Amino acid sequence: MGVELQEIADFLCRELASITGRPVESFSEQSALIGARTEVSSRGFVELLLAAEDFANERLGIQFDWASDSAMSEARSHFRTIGSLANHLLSLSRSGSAL
Amino acid sequence: MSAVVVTGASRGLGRCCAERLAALGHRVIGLARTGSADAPFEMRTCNVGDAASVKEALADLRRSTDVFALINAAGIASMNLLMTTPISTIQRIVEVNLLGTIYCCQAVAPALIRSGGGRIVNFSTIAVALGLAGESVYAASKAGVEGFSRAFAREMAGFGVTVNVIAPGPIDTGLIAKVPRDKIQAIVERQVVPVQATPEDLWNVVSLLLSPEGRMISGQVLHLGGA
Repeated sequence: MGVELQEIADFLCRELASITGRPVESFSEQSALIGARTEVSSRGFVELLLAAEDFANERLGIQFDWASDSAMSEARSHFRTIGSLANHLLSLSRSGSAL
Repeated sequence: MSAVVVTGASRGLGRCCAERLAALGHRVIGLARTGSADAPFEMRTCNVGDAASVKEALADLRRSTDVFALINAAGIASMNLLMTTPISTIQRIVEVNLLGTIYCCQAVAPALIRSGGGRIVNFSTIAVALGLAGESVYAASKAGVEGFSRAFAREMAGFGVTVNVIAPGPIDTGLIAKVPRDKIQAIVERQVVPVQATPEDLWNVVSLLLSPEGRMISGQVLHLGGA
């Protein structure tokens, strides 16, 4: 059975809690990762992406390229929230960005 | 010992740095457009001005935890008046010197962070500080490297990665082989130390930046010879 969206989101919440030192309960799929309402510093954001890259590689068997064109758009970016990032990773795994 | 990525490693200052690092026991991964069969270190074919080529050449390092440094020594020059410089040459100089440096920094930075910190050394030129006529495009590309490096140093500071630029005066390599001797001498005489630097002089600065003693030096442009 493949990895589900909730499992990815939970992983990202746990990582964000570890990075920020805040309780995991303070994060959800709606937690913002970029923009004015971001929950994390730029350094923490990079640390989260490193962890997400490892997760994508080891659990999903895919390559996660942070520097895609869509990443820069606050409106469309898959970095908007934990939920959008989790969705992006799941989408990559289903579309077969296999290693 | 940890790995060091050196661009422009087939000749010139890149080759000089790569050989010394290999002699010190580092695993050197040299990048160059063409291979170099006699290199005493690993060489990979790469056009640093092409983002896809850089990504492919360094793909296996991305999640490495054993990369210590990146030395961006790849560079090209075309001493010419801007008004007589072909567009294709202008684009190529900016691609290799500026974009190549940026692409390689982006590709290696995750590994440096995963490795717990490290060093990035980029190369500029005295032509930026002196505003040398006949080198406007070359100087522009390297001025870009300086600005990029100062800002990128701040982005990487929290991860224990230093980013610096060495801006030497003319050093005898293939890059300036076609420049007349009297022009070289005229530039050297404008340096604070009016003596032509050698590859060894440049290596001494690289060595300092890579050393533990260099940990507090970041975001700086070091003018070898003074400008």
